[in-house]
Amino acid sequence: MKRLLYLLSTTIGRKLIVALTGIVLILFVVGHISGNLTIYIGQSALNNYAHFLQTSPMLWVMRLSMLAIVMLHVALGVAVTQENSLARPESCHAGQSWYLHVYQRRMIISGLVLLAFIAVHVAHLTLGAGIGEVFRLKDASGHVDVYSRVVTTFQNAWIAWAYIAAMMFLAIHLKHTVRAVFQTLGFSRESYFEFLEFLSWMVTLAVVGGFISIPLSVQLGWLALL
Amino acid sequence: MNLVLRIWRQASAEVEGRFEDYPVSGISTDYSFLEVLDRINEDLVSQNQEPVAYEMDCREGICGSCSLMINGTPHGPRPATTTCQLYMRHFHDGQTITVEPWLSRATPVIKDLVVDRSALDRIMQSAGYISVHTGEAPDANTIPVSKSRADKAFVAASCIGCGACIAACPNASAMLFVAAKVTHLSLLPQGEPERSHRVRAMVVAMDREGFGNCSNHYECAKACPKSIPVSLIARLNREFQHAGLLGHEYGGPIHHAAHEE
Ligand code: HEM
Ligand code: SF4
Ligand code: FES
Repeated sequence: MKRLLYLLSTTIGRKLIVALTGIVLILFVVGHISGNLTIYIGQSALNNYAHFLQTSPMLWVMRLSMLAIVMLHVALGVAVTQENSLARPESCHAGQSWYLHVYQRRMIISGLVLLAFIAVHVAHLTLGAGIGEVFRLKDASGHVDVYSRVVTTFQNAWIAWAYIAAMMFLAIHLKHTVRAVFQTLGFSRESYFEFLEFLSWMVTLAVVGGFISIPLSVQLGWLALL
Repeated sequence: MNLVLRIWRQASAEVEGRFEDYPVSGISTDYSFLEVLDRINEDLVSQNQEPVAYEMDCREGICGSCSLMINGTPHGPRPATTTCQLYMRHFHDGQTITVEPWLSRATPVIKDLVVDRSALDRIMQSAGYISVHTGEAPDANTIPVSKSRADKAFVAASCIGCGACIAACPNASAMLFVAAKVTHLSLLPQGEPERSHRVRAMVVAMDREGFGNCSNHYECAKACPKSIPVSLIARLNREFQHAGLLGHEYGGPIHHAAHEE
């Protein structure tokens, strides 16, 4: 406890916790897209996968821990960002362009957009806000019909493109952080840099590409109601 | 060369500053950047005006005094170069060059281009040393140090404490500087006994001064005149996590009953 409090009292310790919770979030999005891709196998594959998650005895443990982790990540991410901007009050000096200024703040910008996205996304596809009847559909084997839920939703072009836009901010966040966590956790050497750069591009393209592909496929008519 | 230097003038910390343009002509491409400032100051003095205050000492890239933000980059556009070793051949005739002080909350302006970098000294005073009795220098090579360690420690030890890393960082973080100092001593046997205490004390001192934290933008290493590698920040994180979680300072003294008659 004393050690934890000590860590939290230093800037490096607070950032360490942002990075540790961030790793869980990275693993979460990797797992999330792996599961979602079952939509390409077919309706029953996705619904079975969803059924497996929803009936897991760990469901609420997982949901509540994810909530706690997101809250910790956001609270400390915001705190660290505030401390950092306090340390540099005259943020824009003569040689610096405004877009560099925005670029250097891309973590908090993409983070806050993601926070809004997570809230909307959970309310929308998990809790069924604004979905109506489709939310209660069951498929042939009596499982909740997540497939129809997703496809119906993304047939609305506004929603599809809003999801795709939100994923651009996930891309910004991931591209920076997949590489950065290695440095923050102290696991980095000069000779790893190229590999870590490559890894962060690969993870970002795979995760974000996967997420975007679903609304896009619905819009292009490749995924349709059966 | 004919140039215009757009220089930040601020009479003291209490008053507002502003840019002023100073045209200079007949500059040789072999002038160093500081020599151009000297020319401007000679002109100003001859006209009975206040010369531009700026810091310098060695003029050979080893003391870390010179500290100018040149066109938005600490120490100017050349990699691995201090301001005093930046030559005018790297600029072109007719150029307007902006010169600013290195500002951050922890390094406030004193006058014109001079900022107060004593925060860095206080970080060093907190634990950037080894505790040994001074006296006669010990014989060389009595403490074995492997070549590869010595080389790595030397890279870190080449930090001249100029503060360019802080000026370059969007968070005004001093972590590259602290990383260099912590690495240099923690890699050597002489630094080993105080290793855990050192990193903790220096990080606490760095926070106390109001420097920011690393967000992994890596601007620091690009600006560093001594090319301190940014991977040393990973090493600082590692040292700190190790000391913070496993350091022997926790738990107080072991209970140790004394002999009684
Ligand atoms: C799926 C979602 C998310 C993932 C995978 C993720 C991942 C990460 C990781 C791994 C880091 C550490 C980077 C480092 O070590 O430098 C990080 C930093 C950060 N995250 Fe997130 N994050 C997510 C959501 C959020 C949200 C919702 C916010 C809301 C504010 C946020 C704000 C931040 C900020 C501000 C930082 C940077 C802190 C700094 O300046 O160093 N993140 N994120
Ligand atoms: S790390 Fe480089 S830029 Fe920072 S103080 Fe040392 S020499 Fe200067
Ligand atoms: S004056 Fe000493 S390093 Fe430039």
